[in-house]
Amino acid sequence: MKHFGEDTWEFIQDDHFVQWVLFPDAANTARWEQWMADHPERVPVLEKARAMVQSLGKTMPHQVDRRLLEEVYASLDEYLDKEVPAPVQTTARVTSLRKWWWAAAAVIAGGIAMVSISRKSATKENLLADKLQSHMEQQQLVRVNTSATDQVAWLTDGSSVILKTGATIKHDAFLTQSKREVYLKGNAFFDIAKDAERPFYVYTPKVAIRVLGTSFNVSEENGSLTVTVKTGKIAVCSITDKQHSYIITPGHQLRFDARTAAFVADSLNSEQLAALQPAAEIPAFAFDNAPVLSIFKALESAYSIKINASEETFGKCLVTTTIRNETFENKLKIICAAINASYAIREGQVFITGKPCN
Amino acid sequence: MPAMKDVRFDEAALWKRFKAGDKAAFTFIYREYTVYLFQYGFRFCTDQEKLKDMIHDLFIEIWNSRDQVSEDVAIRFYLCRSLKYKLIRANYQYRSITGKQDQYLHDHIQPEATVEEQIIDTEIKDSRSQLLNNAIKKLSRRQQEIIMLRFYMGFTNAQIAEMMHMKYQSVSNLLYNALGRIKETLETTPFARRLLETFYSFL
Repeated sequence: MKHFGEDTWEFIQDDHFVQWVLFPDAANTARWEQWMADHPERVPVLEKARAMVQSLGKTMPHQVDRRLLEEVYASLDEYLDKEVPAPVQTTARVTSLRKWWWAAAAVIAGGIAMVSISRKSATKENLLADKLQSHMEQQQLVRVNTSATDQVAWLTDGSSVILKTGATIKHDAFLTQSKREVYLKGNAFFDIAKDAERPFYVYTPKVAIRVLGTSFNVSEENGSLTVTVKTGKIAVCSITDKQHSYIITPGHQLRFDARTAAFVADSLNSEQLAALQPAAEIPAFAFDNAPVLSIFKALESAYSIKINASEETFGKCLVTTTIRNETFENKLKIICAAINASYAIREGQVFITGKPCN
Repeated sequence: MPAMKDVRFDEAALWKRFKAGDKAAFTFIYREYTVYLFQYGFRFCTDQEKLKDMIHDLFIEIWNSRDQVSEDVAIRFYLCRSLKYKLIRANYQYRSITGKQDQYLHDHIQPEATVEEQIIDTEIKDSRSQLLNNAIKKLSRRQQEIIMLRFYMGFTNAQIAEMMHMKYQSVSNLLYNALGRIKETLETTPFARRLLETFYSFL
C-alpha cells in the first residue's frame, strides 16, 4: 500500500476545509483567507490539498439528465398543487364520535372507578436485554414477560408491544397472514405500524380490538379490561358480540366490565394522559461500533426469532447504526448492507451469509 | 473553482420553514437537492425510471411527515441517507462503477465550458480526469463510496460514519487507504507518470 503525502492529509481530513473547497460561501471563504494570511508557510500545501479535493470531486457525475430532473420537479409541483389543506371529512367524523362519546359517558356516569395507569419508563438497557421468555406453541410464537420490569416485544412488521410483568402475547412469528393477529393476556402497550392492507387485531380473552390507527394501551384489573388510546383510532368489540363495536379516539378509554359484560366509556384527565406518554418512547436500535454478532443477538431477543450467523465469518464485523421504525426485514437489510452480507428466512429462522470482514 | 454563491441560503431557516408546511420552502428544497439524489442513488440503482419514482416518493414521504422529522438537519445528508435506506429496503445495494454506468455518465455529461476553452483544455482535462476515473474504478466498493461521499457530497467524517455504518476512526482509515491506492495506480500507469506534473497534488 502506497502512502500519499502526509502534508495534505491534515486538510483532507478537515471537514470545514472540504466543505469550503466544494461549497464555498462568503463566510467560509473569509475564514480560510484569514487562515492563509496567518499561516503563509502552509499555503502551498493547502493549495495542493484544494486541487486534490477538486479533482476528486470532478470525477463524480456532475450532470444528471435534465429530463429526469424536470419530471421529478413537475410531478412534485403537481402533488403540492393538488394537496387540500385539511381533510374536512375527518373533522366531521371526529365531531360525531365525540357526540357519541359524551352520550355514552352521560348514560353511564357515576360509580365508575377509573383504572389508574402507571408505568415506569423502561430504560434502554432492560428493553434490549433478553428478558422475554419465548417458545413455539402450535406454530405460534409465545412470548412472556417473566421479569419485574416492562419489556418490549418487537414484531416483524415494525410494530412493538411493551409487555408489563406477567403479560403474554401469542402470534405468528413473521405475521405472514392477511390479518396481523396477536393474542394478549395481561397488560400491554401497543404501537402499531401502519399497513392498510393488513389490519391488526388484538384478541384478549374477552374483547377483540381492531386497530385503525397507531398506539394504545390494554390493561386488566380485577376482571375488567381497559383499553386506552394514545394516538390514532381503534375499534373494540366483545368476543361474544362482534356485531357491535366501539371506536375509541385519542385521550379516551373504554372499560369492559366482566361481571356485567358492559362497556363503559371515559375520557382521560391530563395526568393520566401524561402517564401514557413514556410508554410510547420505544428506543431505537442504536449501536456504536458494535460487533455485528451482538446486533444480531439483540434482534434475536427483541423479536424472539433465531438468527444464524457464523462466528467464524462475521466475528470481526463492526457496525455503527441507529435504526428506528423499520420492519424486521428492513433492519436485516440495513445491517446486511453494512457488512455486505445477505439473509434468507427459512422455517421461522434467519440465515445470514456473506464474506468475512477485514 | 466553482462559481461562488454570494448569498447561500440559510439551511436551518429553510428547513424550519419546510417543517412549518411552507410549500415554497419545500419546492426550493427539491429543486436544489434532487440532482444529488440522482447522482448518489444511481450507484445503487441503474434503472433511471425506477430511481426517479423512488426520489419522487421520498420527497412526498418527507413532506407528509414533515412535523415528525428532526429540527436540526443537514439537508443534503438527511436526504441522501433517507434515499439510501429506501433503496436498501427495495433490495438495491451500493455497487462499484461498471462499464454500463460509465456509459450512462458519459452520455449525460454536458460540457460546462465554452467551445474555445474546451478545445484548449480538452486534451489535458480529459486525460486527467480519465486517469483519475480509472484509478477510482480500481477501488473497492466501499472505497468508491467514501470518495463520493467525501469529495462530491462534501459530507463530514461523522456523517460518513453514520451513513456507512462505521466508527469514526475507520472512516479516516478507509479514506486514507483509498487515496493511497489511487496514488499507487496513478504512479504505475505509464501515461499518468508523464502527467504527474500537472497532477502534482498526488505526488
